[in-house]
Amino acid sequence: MPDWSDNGFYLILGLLAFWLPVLGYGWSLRNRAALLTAEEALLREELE
Amino acid sequence: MAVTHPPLMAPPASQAGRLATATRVLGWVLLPGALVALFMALVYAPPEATMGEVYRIFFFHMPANIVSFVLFFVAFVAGITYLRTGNALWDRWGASSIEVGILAAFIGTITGSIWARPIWNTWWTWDPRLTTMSILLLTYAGYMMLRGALDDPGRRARYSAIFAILAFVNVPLVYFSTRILDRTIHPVVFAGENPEAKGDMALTAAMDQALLVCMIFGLALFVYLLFQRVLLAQREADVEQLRLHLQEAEDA
Repeated sequence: MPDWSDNGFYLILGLLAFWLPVLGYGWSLRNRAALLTAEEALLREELE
Repeated sequence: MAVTHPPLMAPPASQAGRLATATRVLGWVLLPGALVALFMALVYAPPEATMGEVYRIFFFHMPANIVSFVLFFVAFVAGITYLRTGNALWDRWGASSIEVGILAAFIGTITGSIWARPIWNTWWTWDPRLTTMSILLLTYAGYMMLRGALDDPGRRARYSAIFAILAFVNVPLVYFSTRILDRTIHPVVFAGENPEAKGDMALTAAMDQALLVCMIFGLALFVYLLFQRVLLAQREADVEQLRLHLQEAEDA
């Protein structure tokens, strides 16, 4: 494991700067898909 | 009431099904892959001689930047193919590639800035690499704004394709900025040397192996996000189609 006392703060910050946007984007895609599902159901209902 | 609107060139169900399956499989591979990449970057690779531990950011910084170039190339090819064929599928691939590419380029820039703080003693400097990368990010942000401003799907796809082709000129500029221009402090790690570059770094065999694993993982991760985005774009097109049908039904 790295020696966290050697600029460990910046290393953790760097790891977070990679993972947080990736996870956030993944979550936003799921959220957008859920919204689309709801809208699609509504539109189909209105069409019928 | 009869609905006569043609489909917006939606892909065959089998094609979407294959993409969904590939995405699911990739998603499962990524879980252990993330652990392996973290192990290689944080444990397997030794500390760097002059930078110490913080250089490990490099194992995520470089893959993010390289993958962003790959994704912008995909958008470039998708743009050309759309203009040749007019198939909306390529518009979706192009737009999705650029959206995920912006995410990768943004991550590459932020991780670089964090790495620069303890090494260059500054969060940011107008080095040729950083400057060209900022221009690239702003250019592709302009692409997203253009797409958001156009309602007509045909015009949006055509203008987006042209924009994606023209914007790709940024990528070689960023890549060669540290190889051609003088007075850069950004290191040239692969495929070339620049004696003027002051931020030189030499990789040991273990670092090379860790980088290779992280590159493969980074590529798989962003390809997974790209596939997810394309699937979402196909569903967006389906919903847009339904909206048109409804509007047509109401007008009739």
